[in-house]
Amino acid sequence: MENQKKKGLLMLASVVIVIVLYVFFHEMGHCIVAIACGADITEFSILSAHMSYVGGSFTDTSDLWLHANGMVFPLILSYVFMLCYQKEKESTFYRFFAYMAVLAPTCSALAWVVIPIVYLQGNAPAGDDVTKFLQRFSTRYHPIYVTFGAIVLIAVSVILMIKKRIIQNAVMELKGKVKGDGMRKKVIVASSILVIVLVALMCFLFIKRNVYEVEFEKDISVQDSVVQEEELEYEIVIPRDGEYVMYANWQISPAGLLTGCSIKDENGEDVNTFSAECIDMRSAVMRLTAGRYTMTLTFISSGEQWKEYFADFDTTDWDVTSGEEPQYQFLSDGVLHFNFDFRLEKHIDIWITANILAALIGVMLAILLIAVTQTGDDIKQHYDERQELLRSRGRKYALYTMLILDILLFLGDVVGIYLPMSVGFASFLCALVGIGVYAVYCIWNNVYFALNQKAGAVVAVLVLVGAVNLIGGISALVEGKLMQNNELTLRSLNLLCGIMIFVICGALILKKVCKDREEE
Amino acid sequence: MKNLKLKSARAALDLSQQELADKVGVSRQTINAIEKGDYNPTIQLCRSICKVLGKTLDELFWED
Repeated sequence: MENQKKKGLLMLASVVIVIVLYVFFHEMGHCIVAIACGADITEFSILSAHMSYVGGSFTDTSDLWLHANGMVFPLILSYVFMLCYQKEKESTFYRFFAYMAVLAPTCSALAWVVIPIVYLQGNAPAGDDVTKFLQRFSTRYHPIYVTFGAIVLIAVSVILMIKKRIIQNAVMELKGKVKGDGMRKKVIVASSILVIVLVALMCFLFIKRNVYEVEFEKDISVQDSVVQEEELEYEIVIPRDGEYVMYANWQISPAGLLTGCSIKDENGEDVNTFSAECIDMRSAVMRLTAGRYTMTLTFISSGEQWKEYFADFDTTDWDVTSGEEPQYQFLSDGVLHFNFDFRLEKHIDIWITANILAALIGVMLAILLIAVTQTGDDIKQHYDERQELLRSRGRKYALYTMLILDILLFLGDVVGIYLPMSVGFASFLCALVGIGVYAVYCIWNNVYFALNQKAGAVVAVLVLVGAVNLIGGISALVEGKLMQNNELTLRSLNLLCGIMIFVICGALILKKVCKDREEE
Repeated sequence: MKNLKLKSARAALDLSQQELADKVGVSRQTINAIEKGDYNPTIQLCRSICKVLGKTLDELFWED
């Protein structure tokens, strides 16, 4: 037990030291390029992971290096460290430290794999080194080259880690811990807590961050082309500087009136002004400073009024209006029903965070389910020699199945057979069929369950996961969201996964029915 | 080819396939497969089975 505590402390110490060292070398990487280009370093902080400089003459290439060197410099140092690594040295701290020291720069390179893809979708995090790099890089080359380059760097790192036995040595040191008393229970408790925390974080992420909301319905009468309704004014208080997004939704029935919506700051400066008969829009991200703003709704009942309304604005650059009055049929008399819904929300770029959280929840749930479905203290699944042999044969058949399907898909594509799915979807489908073949083969040969696995619990988990997927898939089917633009959507994967899991369950039932009763 | 020697040695000790499997550290199906002749065990597994049943390798796994 003492030994385990010592190992835990050594691991913690190596993590802390590596984080500090990584930040230092990351900022140092930026500084080296800045100094080489003649700049003076004005700020260098490890605590806030920040450096700043003044002056210097940067070319296109040196500017790219300035952003990239924060990742490249620590990675090159880690390569040098790996080449000097002594695999025979039996110090626990040395082994943990080496593992962490190599893992940190390798993981930081992952951002250079992911962000170019996100950048292509227009969601790259602003202010990040990779984004800054890509903004310049993409003027000449395709951003995906950065992803490929980063994958090569990571691959070199992983190969060196394995060749130099850095991973194996760290795992060897950890193994004593893994096999400790009650490890399975600890894993269950830890992964349950993590799942709950991560789900709570996810919920928090999706909580509406409304700064302001107004919603109403009213009847507006028009007599002799004059609206019998005053302008409506609303005061909006922005609590702090930041990025905000506006949602506006209004309808008027019957048609015949335009509504102008104008938001102005305390000084009367225009923030956003637009007009529409009916609208359902989400604005671009707006940077607003803290303070009071006024939103005014104006009902426009003629072209003249419309021109008057926009008279204060320079509309010459507007693509849509061009300063000319709209070709619109106004109602001269009548009563119109007006529905209005307006929200101003704090903008948070949750795309990446939500996906990372979802992936972490998935991993933690998988660990939890594996731990729950086993017996004993060990969390590793144990198979006997016959099971290992047949399982490896099953993996071989699964691989052949995937290869054959991939070749068929390729040939189909060459011949011109249209499949209603993207290439990624088709590849996933091949993998899914491969997994199905592996599972059914293992079930049929009685090697599906490990020696220390509770068969009933595994089946219960399978049914649960299958049911969740089927419900998701069937709801997509009912909503008509299985296909979009003549292609199967990601939601149809739920249906396919659900079907595959129930095929596995079917194979388990069938095997149970045909169970060999030769014994006794 | 069926391994009837193993089956009879197990029966002599009044052990079920599951009990023998638990003692040896393999699955019941593996013992069943060995008895049916569907699986050729490694020498390590043969030794483990022999130790549990108190027999020699020749007595259980050598063809007459």
